[in-house]
Amino acid sequence: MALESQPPGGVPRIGLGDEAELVARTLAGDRAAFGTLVERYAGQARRVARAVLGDPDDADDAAQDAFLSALLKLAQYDPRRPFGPWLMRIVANSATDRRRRRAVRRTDPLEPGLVGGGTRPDIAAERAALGERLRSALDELTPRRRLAVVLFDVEGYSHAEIAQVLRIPEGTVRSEVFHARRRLRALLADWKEAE
Amino acid sequence: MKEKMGGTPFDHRPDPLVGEALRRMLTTGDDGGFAARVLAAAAAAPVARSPFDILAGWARPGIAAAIVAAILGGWAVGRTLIAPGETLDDAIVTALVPSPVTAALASNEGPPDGSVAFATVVEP
Repeated sequence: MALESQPPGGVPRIGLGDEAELVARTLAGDRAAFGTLVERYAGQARRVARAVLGDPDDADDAAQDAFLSALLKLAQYDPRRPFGPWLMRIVANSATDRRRRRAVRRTDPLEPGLVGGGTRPDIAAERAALGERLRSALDELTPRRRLAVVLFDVEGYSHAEIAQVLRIPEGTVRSEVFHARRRLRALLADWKEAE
Repeated sequence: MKEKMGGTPFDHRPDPLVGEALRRMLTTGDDGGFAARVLAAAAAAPVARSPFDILAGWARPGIAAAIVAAILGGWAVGRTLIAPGETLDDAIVTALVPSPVTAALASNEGPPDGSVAFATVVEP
């Protein structure tokens, strides 16, 4: 696994052989193996779905649909390839389909729990403010651009892996990440300067 | 500020500041509860089989249905062609008449004579 694909302080990447074995065991009827895959990828799938949908409940529904869909399609997974991008493609499709289906509505405000519990009120308020600004900034981006930056900067996937997930050329992934970062960095820089 | 953020937006490495801010915003917590919910839903779902297994599963009822259809079809055709009280041999002979040569060929219990068989082809 390339260094660039290791997320900074995020979910550790799972070995290819380990994933293949878990998939093989799931196909053989071992539900516990599928449970291990779900537990490992739950956070990532929920974040990716939320990047597309905004609403946390919608995102969880989409992520759940994606896991069930993956279970049904598991025989199609190529064990020579990493499991993460294969699963994230299903998650991204599930979230995008749900986004298309649902009626256009305003993005729900961030829940207080999203910005971390148990912190001092002033820090919590700052984080909430930043979260809201980030949410607004994300909303301005296209879903594909959002997915690209979240998969790259949050989940640690490489440009090549994101190209597989989004079915776009690697150069386009770089461009999408660049534009998303430029917007988000400007926002974060303003916020830092205002501190 | 840019150095803190890991260089230019072209940087090929993940940006820890952008990544952490997005992670905090997108993470909803209680992944364990979510995983339990998914596994409960999955308990009712079938585990996928290989595409060949699935096709084989479709083929088995298809073959059985084809056999039943062939038997029923043969029975229906037989009822149409064979009159009540008539044997299958009679029906074949009747179908081959009016040619006396073909009737002789069909009613002969021994192996057909070459010249007779040729005559069935040549004679109208």
